[in-house]
Amino acid sequence: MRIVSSSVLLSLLLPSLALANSWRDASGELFSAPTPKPTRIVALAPSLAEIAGGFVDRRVIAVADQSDYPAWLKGLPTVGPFHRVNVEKVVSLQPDLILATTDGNSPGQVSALRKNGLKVLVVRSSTVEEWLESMTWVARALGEDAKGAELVQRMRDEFTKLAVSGPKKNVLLVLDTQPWITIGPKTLLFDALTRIGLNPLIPGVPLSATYPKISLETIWAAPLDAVLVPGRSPESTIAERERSHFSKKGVRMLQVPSDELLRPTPRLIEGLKKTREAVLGQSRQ
Amino acid sequence: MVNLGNRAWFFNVALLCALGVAILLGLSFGATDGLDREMILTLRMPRVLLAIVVGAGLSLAGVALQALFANPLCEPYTFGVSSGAALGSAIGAALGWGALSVAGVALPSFLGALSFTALLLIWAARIRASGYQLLMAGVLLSFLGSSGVAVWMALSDPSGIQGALFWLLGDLSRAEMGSVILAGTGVLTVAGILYGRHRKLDALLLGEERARALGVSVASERRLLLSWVSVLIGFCVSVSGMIGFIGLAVPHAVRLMRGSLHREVIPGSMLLGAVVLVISDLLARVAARPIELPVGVVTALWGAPVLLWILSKRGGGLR
Repeated sequence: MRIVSSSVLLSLLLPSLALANSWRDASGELFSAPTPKPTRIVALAPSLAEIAGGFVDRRVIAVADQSDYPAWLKGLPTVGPFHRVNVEKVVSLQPDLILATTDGNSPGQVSALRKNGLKVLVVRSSTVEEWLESMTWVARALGEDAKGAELVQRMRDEFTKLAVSGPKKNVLLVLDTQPWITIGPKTLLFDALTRIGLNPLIPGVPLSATYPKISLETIWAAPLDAVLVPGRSPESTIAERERSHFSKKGVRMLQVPSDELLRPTPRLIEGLKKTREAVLGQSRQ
Repeated sequence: MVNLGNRAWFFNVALLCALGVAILLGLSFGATDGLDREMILTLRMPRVLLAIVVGAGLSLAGVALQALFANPLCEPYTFGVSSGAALGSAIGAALGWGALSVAGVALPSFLGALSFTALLLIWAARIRASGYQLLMAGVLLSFLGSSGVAVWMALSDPSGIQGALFWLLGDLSRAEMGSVILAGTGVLTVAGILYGRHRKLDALLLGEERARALGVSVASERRLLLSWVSVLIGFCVSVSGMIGFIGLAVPHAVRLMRGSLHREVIPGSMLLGAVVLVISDLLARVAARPIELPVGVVTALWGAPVLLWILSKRGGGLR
């Protein structure tokens, strides 16, 4: 009788034990962390390669174009640009884990990889919470749960230190000027900048926007304190007519970090620190 | 008895009044409420003026091409000139020359347009191409240019594609007074040349055989006018991207209202084209503000139904 009840208990426990390391990823699919730990990892976005590269050494075997941090990733084979990876090449590498994101990778290509029997973890980083969760997920999928928990806790602490109270400075983060494209409320960077004392919302931009194209008139009329240009000097990015308008209105034009700020990786904290320092100066830190 | 000259005068005055109203609307409304003087003078004014120049230029190009080939489907984008401009722009962007411009006229796209025309004309002269062959070659060049652009877009960083895509769908937001003056001079010069040859265009509209019978040297006239029209399209495309339907629909609408004599069709089409583009650009600015729609999308949205209506009224002919 004891043997029978133990077997029943075990049969009830086993699936839940297996499910303990399973979760619904950002594509809505049930993902189970591979066992043993994956050793042939392909990252389909530079940000994912950077996160994975921070957790594991040399288990990443291929990356998307422009995956350049940490530096050792530059020597790895590439599978094409993140927005259109070469599915055939990914399949031929026989990876035991593929890391993908909803922010750029094609859902159709992710589905094609899954149909080929490959294990794909899809993450999303459109808010700070999702960004932290995505790092937890990647760590769990790599079998590095403890490292993931430690990193996420550190990121949370850093964010708390960066938080600024009081009135926010109105900023325009420029992603492109032909046409003018900025970040919308449905992006990680918008959420992150809002938490550090900046207001990147341009009046009239819908709350559902991700990367809205805004008319020049709207930008001229917006009550801005600063225009932020990631990775390039404002002089080389913004036309003289607009620069002169911003100068007249007393709007500062500032260069801010590019990859550190734009990629949803642990380096975002550094990017935010530098951006906050550029806009608010040392006084309010 | 009705005086035909008076009728034409009334028609053009009516269009001028419509243009005046369109300009007023274009300057008064935009992505933001209120009438800020600096914004009107610095942003809206060059934009409205460029819309007038490009609308007039594209309509003029459509009039000329439809007559040169006696084909109602000809428009500024049929001959590959615009695809050449787009390819030039893509190559310029790939080589890092994307920002090269003379007074706001994008040099790579202008050179692309001229190169494709030169290619077409040299080929046509070599084989003594008929109008039909020239038309076919133009369509093929158009495909070639589009494919080149597609290759560039496939290989590019996605952040660069956004701007290119917007430009390919027509964009007047980069307007500045320099581009207005330069493109305006180009449009007026070609308009003068075409107006001076309005009788030859009338003859060409009747078809090659009849034009020859009327003493027109079809091949040389076609080469000459095609060269000027290509310069015209090159100017328009390099300052505004690719704005469709104006060059196709406006000449048909004017012919429907005023008949086929180019003495009347040329000024009428230029004025109506200007009105249509100023209003279309206004809609592109205000319809989804603060986001701006590509103006080529707006012209296509109204252009397709209007053209269908024109076709149902008069069939597919030109005369």
